[in-house]
Amino acid sequence: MKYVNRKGMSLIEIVFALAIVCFLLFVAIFQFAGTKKIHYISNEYLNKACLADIAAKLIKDQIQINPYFLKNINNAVVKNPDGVLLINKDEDLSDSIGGAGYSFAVTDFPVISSVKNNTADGQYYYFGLFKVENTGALMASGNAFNSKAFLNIKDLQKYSFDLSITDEGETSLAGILKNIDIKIKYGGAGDPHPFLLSTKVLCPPESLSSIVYSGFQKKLFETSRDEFLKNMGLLLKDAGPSVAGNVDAVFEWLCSKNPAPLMFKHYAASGEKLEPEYKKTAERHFKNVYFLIYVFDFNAYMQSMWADRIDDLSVMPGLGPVERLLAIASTYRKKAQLALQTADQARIPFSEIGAYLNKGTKDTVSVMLASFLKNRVDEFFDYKDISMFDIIKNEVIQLPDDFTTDGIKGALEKFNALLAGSYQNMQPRALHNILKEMTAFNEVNEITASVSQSGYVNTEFKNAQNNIKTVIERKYRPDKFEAGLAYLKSEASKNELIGSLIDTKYKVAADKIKYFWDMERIAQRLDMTLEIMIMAINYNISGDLNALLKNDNINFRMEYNRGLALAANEGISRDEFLRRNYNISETEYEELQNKYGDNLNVSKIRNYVEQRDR
Amino acid sequence: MLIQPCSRVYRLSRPRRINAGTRRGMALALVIGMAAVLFIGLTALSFTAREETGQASKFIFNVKAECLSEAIHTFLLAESYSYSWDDRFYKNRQIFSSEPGLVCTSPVELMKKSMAALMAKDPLLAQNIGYDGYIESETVDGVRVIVICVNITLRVSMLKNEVILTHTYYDLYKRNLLDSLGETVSFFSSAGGGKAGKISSKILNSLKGPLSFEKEIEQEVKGKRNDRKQPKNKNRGRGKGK
Repeated sequence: MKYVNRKGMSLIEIVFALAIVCFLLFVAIFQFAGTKKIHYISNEYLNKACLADIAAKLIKDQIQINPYFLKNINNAVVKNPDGVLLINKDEDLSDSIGGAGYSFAVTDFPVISSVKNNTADGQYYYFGLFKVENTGALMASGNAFNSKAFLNIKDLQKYSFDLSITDEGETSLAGILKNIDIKIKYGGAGDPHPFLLSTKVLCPPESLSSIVYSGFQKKLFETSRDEFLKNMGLLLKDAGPSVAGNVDAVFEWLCSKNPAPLMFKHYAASGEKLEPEYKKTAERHFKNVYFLIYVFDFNAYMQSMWADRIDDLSVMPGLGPVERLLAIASTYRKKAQLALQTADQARIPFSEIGAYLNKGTKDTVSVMLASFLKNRVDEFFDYKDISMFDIIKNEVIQLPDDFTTDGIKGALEKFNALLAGSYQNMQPRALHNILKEMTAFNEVNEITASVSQSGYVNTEFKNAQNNIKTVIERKYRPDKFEAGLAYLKSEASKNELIGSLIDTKYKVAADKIKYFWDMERIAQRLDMTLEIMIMAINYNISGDLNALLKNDNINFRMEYNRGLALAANEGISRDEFLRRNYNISETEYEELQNKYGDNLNVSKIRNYVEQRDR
Repeated sequence: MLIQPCSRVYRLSRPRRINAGTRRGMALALVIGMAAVLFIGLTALSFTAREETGQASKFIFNVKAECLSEAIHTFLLAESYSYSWDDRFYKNRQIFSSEPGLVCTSPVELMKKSMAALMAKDPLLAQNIGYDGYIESETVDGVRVIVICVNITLRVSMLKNEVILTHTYYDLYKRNLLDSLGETVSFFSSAGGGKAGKISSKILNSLKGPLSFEKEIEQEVKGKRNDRKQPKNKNRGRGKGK
């Protein structure tokens, strides 16, 4: 046997080589398999992350476009594989989603599901909530599930999701913040590595429950008032007249009256000064009067300036029709807003003045306050030869118009006109913003019209509803602008139910708006109170307001004064009025005139008539 | 029987030793060559796989960080609407951080508590992600702006954090009835958040518009008394402009 020239490897070499090769192959296969597995896992996880991201963005976008989204989510009609038609049935719109303590949860719902069993009609829902009509990009034509598109319908059907919306308990404004958790799963509930995405969203006012919304508005008004008061307080401090000086002037004037009013006889006789505690109280109430005048005057000035701006905008060259109308409507909005804030600021000082005057002529400061209010001023701001109270009263009467006909109604008219004429030419974003503005003004108009004392009628309501209907039918529906469509449909439905909403959700706003007319009523009552007070001061009658109101002498004089004023309006002289009123002949009246001369007054006539008729 | 195989081995080994230069070299080269090719392939594969998982991680952290940043912004915004402008808790810059030790004002502490609960639900966030930032206010040209800046960081090691994103949010402060019924005004910027520069005119312009009501009020309250124009008639124009 020849071994010398034999070529090849020894057995051990072969075994060794094979072992290394096998090991390397094993490692390679393991690595390939592992890489493939890692690829699948990471791909699947990426898909889940991508879907969760899409879901979060879709929800946020929907809330932005359709503020009713969180409310409507309860009744989203979707058919899942088990045949359940509703995600969460809440057909009575109990609107708890916007409330504190709300919890909404959906589990193992398909990421994409068809509306009907027949998928050929191409109507699908993403996450059970977002309708997708044009699925062409996700499916190859003719064969529904052969698309190579990333995350096509066939792939998407393997994913399911859990959605949870809960109320955020830590925030100061309870109910306004919602926690959103989206969990995407692959292959059903048993997925060991679901992808969780958590975020928070602000609940829009339209989706807030009545209780939370009222609370939110209440807080909003409170802080708004504090802010305004601070600004006005600064103004009063910097530029206001000397309140203390006015208190002294009124005190001295009352002491110098002849005869001095009952409460001031002591001061007039002794020359004593007003006690510091009385002076402090008087200063507080005088400051209230100044505050009211400042607030009203400020409103009057701004209203006048904005009205001028509306006039200017109407004829300003270089503005397009949309731009012009938007600028005008925006100015109307400011007018309405300031009028509302003015009424809100006036509420407390107005009530305090009214309450203090109830003390009547038995209280030193009450007498001073009444005298100050009825004091005619030569010139104060733009007001001339008018009493402080009449300045306030005139502005109170004007204020509702600033809010209604010159404010919200003006704006709503402009928005309605703009929408009716130009909705087809507008870009979706601009159209959506204008619709939101229009619906907001319509809402405030409806709340105002619901105040029975106002006598205000929302004549633009029908136009607003027609515009909503037109945009739904001719703009949103043909273009399948689902979120906008959902928003407008909800808005139209809400308008139909606005009456019940005013009693609940919009109660705070309705109460604020009602104050415009409450204030008018209070002003009339204050006017009468002041008339009685001044008469009681002049005739030295002492008593609180209730006592003064029951005082025959005052009632008689008030009745007499009113009658005399009415007669004067009709061109009847005082003598003629007295003769007619007390049924006295011309001869009898002449006899009385001869007897009393210039001292003939109504009490002497009454005495004469009593004796005559006896 | 036991010796024979040994002698065979011996015998077999002898001629091989004679030709060792050719035969042994071939086997070794083959194995080394094969190993080298496999090593290169496997390294490339491993690198690709690691790159893929790295990119996937970055994307996932980014998605989670975006949502966390939004959550912080939304919470602070809701809190800012709970206070009047004059009583705002962010009058001075309020710095916050997920790291313990920094005590903030009550609304910011509420936010931290809420975020801790949010992150505790998600182990990935709890173990790897941190945040810091600030909330402050600016009044520019009468427009009241809430500025919220959020940094989301990835904990790379005990001593090192890597910034995933920095977002600065600009929101217009508004507090009245018609505003509350109208659209929310907000502006978002992802650049230069940490620099705390002045609000740019572009951002400012986007915040202005129909809601710049406060600006006019403030300006008028401050300045009008001294040089106000006298309306010709008290009620002049109050209902005009239709």
